[in-house]
Amino acid sequence: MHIPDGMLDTRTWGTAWLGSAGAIGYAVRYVRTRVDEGRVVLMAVLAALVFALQMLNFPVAGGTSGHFAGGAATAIVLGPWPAVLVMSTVLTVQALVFADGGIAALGANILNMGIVAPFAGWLVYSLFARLGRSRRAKLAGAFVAAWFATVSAAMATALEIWLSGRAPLPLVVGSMGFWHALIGIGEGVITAGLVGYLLAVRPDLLSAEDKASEPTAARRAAIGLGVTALAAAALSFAASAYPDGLEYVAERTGFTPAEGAPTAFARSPLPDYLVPGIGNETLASVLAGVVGLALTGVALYGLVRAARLRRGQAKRS
Amino acid sequence: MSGEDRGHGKGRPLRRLGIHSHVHEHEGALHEHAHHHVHGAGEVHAHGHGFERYTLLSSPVHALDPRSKIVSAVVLSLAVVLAPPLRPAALAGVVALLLSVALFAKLPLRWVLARSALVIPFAGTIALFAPLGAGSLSVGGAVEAYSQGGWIEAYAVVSKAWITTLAMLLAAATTPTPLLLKGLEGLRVPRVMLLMMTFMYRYLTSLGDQLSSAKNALASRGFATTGWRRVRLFGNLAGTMFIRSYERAERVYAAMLSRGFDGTLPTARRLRLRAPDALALAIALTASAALLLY
Repeated sequence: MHIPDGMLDTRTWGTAWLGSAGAIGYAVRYVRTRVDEGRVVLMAVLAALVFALQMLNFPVAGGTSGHFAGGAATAIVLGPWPAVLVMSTVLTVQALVFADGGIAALGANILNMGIVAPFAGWLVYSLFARLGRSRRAKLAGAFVAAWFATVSAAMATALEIWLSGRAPLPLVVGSMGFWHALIGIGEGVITAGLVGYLLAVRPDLLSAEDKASEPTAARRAAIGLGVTALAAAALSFAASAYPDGLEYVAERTGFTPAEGAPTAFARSPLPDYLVPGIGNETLASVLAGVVGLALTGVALYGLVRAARLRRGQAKRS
Repeated sequence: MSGEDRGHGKGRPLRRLGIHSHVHEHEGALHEHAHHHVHGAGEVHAHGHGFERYTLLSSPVHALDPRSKIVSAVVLSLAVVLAPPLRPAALAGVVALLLSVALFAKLPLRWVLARSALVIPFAGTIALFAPLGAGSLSVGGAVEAYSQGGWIEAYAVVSKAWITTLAMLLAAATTPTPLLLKGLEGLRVPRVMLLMMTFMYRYLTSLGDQLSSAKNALASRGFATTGWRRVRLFGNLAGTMFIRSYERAERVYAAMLSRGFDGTLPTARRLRLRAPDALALAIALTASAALLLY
């Protein structure tokens, strides 16, 4: 799932970079102010473990193989923000030392495997933790969380490849989804094994449940999205001022599709990243970016809100 | 230079640079294995393992400041990504530049090519569909897209993925990991992340050793299983390794604190930018500017 350079277009990797940079900045601050130093050692060891385990391949149907990614497991042990930092560090080292995943694409890789995966896994696990405190509920939660984290990260990757205009949406979503739904099972079994082992041997190390009951999660998600929206807006300015490398050559060599031919985004509500009906192209593309992010934000906020309401009811009852 | 294979005896001049192999004595035993000599360390020889295999070689590229290597590789990668699809001359120029860096660094070219080519299958799969853009999927559409010059997009994806991998690979393969971390510190990477990277580097080898000894233990007891049982086993193995490493790290951390650890990692070597670094940066910046402007 490590995207190499050259696959994403400039606005996609740029936006992803700014969004992940904001999230990493927040995670660094969070760890520095709220996580005591002994736990930083735990984070470091977990980072090394995730790194080592990513080298273990397990067979998936059809002769392909998958490997453990660790986003959900890290979030379950540490809580989401420290997990963001752990996964970002692992991915940075992989890009710098192993040339695994590109430098421009590192922001997108961090977004997919270092932010989307831990948060997706943590959300699912904390939902399960609220359903029951039994060992079985936690193990089931760990399994589903890891599966969900794997598939979410794959979906985010697929969306970025599609947004970059590198492949048709049904194709990337279908193929990434199919393989990662299978790989996710392996990830789920390993994560459940790890969590089960920790519950038996060092239950004190598992802290995600305490983190899950912090009331400010929604506010934090809103801040993160705000930062991303600003970043997207700033980037849309740059993106609209200069044509994409490919578009540039397309114009020069003349292989752009004829005017009026159905282009990539013709059928989407915001064709070519522009809000229809606005004359100024720059402004229109900035607005399109902000609208897209606002929609995502509203959806996420609603989700978090619903989870909080349910938790409130559970506490009262 | 094969006539000079005389081992690492005292008083013999150190002549061979680069990776070579001959019978020699160290740690009290005669043996033969691939190794190389450490820059400026006289008769001492070193052999990196795994991903560090070539980082201890002695060459002008290895002697560069890690910061200038990281910055050069990143700048060149970004230029390649931002540039329009590379024309044959530009592609040849960048590849020639990077391969001559590899030659200067005494890296085996075959290894450099094989290692950097690992990215091609993944990039190639996506690249096949790139000419279709975000449009619909059909055989007719694909044929049309390719015939209208869409192969340029497929070529752009693969060539850019390969060249950027090559650039980052060269920077990493010529810098010992502790120096690379020192360079990242110089580039203002957050301290928490640096601390994690340092611990990762330290524990990766010990985790690897634990993993292989666990595998040996399983094999020597005739353990053979496949499929989901194997995956479950990985889970338990991960748990064991995690607890063991964590408990060791707790002890190590307590020991570090008691010796005055304040969150910084002091090293004896000071980073200094010198004339060769300026030259390397100048070459990288010129190449990047040329790629973007022509």
